[in-house]
Amino acid sequence: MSESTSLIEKLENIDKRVIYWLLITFMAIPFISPIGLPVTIATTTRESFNIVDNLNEGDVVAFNVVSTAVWGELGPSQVVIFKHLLQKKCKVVMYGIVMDAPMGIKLIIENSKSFIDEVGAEYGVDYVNMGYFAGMETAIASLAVDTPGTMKASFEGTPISQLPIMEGIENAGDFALVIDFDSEDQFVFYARHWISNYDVEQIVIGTGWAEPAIIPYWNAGMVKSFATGLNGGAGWEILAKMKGEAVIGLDAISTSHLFFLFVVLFGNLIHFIKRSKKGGSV
Amino acid sequence: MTEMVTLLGSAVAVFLTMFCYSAILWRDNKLFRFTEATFIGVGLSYQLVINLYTIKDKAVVPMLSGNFYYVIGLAAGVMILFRVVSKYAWISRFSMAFLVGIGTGLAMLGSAEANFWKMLEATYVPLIGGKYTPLDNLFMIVATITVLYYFFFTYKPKGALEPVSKAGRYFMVFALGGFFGNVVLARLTWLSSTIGEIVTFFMSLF
Repeated sequence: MSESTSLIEKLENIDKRVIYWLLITFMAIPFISPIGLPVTIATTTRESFNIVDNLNEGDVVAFNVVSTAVWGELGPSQVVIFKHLLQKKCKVVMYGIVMDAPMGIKLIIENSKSFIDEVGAEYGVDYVNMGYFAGMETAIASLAVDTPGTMKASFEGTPISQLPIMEGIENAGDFALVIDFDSEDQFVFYARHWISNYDVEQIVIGTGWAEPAIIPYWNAGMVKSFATGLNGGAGWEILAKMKGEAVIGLDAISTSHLFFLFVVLFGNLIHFIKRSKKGGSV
Repeated sequence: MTEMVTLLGSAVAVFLTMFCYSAILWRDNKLFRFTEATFIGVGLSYQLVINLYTIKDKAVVPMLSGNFYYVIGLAAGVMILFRVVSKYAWISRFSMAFLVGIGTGLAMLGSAEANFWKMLEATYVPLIGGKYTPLDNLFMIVATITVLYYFFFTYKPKGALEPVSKAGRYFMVFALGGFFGNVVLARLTWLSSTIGEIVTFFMSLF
């Protein structure tokens, strides 16, 4: 066995943990020293941004948060869009139909603390944590028909009669926009109960895998626009001029893709070298 | 004091994350199993507390303040618990039937428009015009027809119609491939997020 053949065999049988370690090392680089790789902003992200940017001062927005399980992907989007809404002086009613929604809302507020102070937004007046609503589609339907009957109090227990932000909100039709942060298909619930019956505009900020499911609803006009994955968040951060975690995170994703590209090309190269050495098929 | 608590919280999160990855980057070990058990325990207890608070706020408190009809919901909830006792499991069926009935009724309410008419409308696209290029429009029309034909089970596709059915299958494979690619991308995003947490934590120490 020649030396080169033994090297090829070693490379072919490389322990997968080595590849994992290399991947993690590549991904860590942008967090130590941000590279600033270019970010392509999707047309739909730009459209979603413009919808929020064209809201009027005082418009009330339903802000349906997603599970903290996907914080890595949608956390930065939730933070930047929340900040954008506060910057536009909109009223943000935050809630969720997943059990850890209150925790997610707390994280969004904590991550935006300095910005909240900067714009002088007030809890209960400009934004509020309404907590978790059990029942999935039942909850969304109930919120549409009778918002005060469903949202009786904030997460901390303040009755809505004492929350200025909820003044005049009777049903889904009183919201200027619903922003659904989604890792599954909750936007379908909004399509059925909010859009069909009250003609509210909906934008969806979804995980990457939710995109194929969102597109048919976007084509059908039940989703005005959408932004997905960390790329959506990074695009929004750039458009809003609030660069943050998504832009840095996207650097890590790009480096990991470059690494994968290298591994695939390298694997193929080894394969063809081996084949040529054997003089035909492997 | 607050800073110390935050730092401690971050340290716990970072080390538990590292213990999680240790099973993949090294091998199965006790620290990984400890983290696994901790995660399940914490997750379940959090869900239990949130659920109990929800029941208290949404049903018990209104019932005690005079809305006695809330007892129906509470009773239906208790009836579901009988499912764990095989002799009385039949009691849970009433609640389940109620839940399925409500779920189906609600889903039907907006489905005709949201899931049928609007979707149907969206597939009636002109070849030239709209938000897509003519090639995209053609692709969508052909894919819709061929995929629908693939699920037409009344006659076995034969002769000239066989490639139509096959094309439908390939379109579905393309769609699933795209879906899988998005899933991989999402998983990588989560990985990058946790790596970011770890790196940021250690950098903040120096």
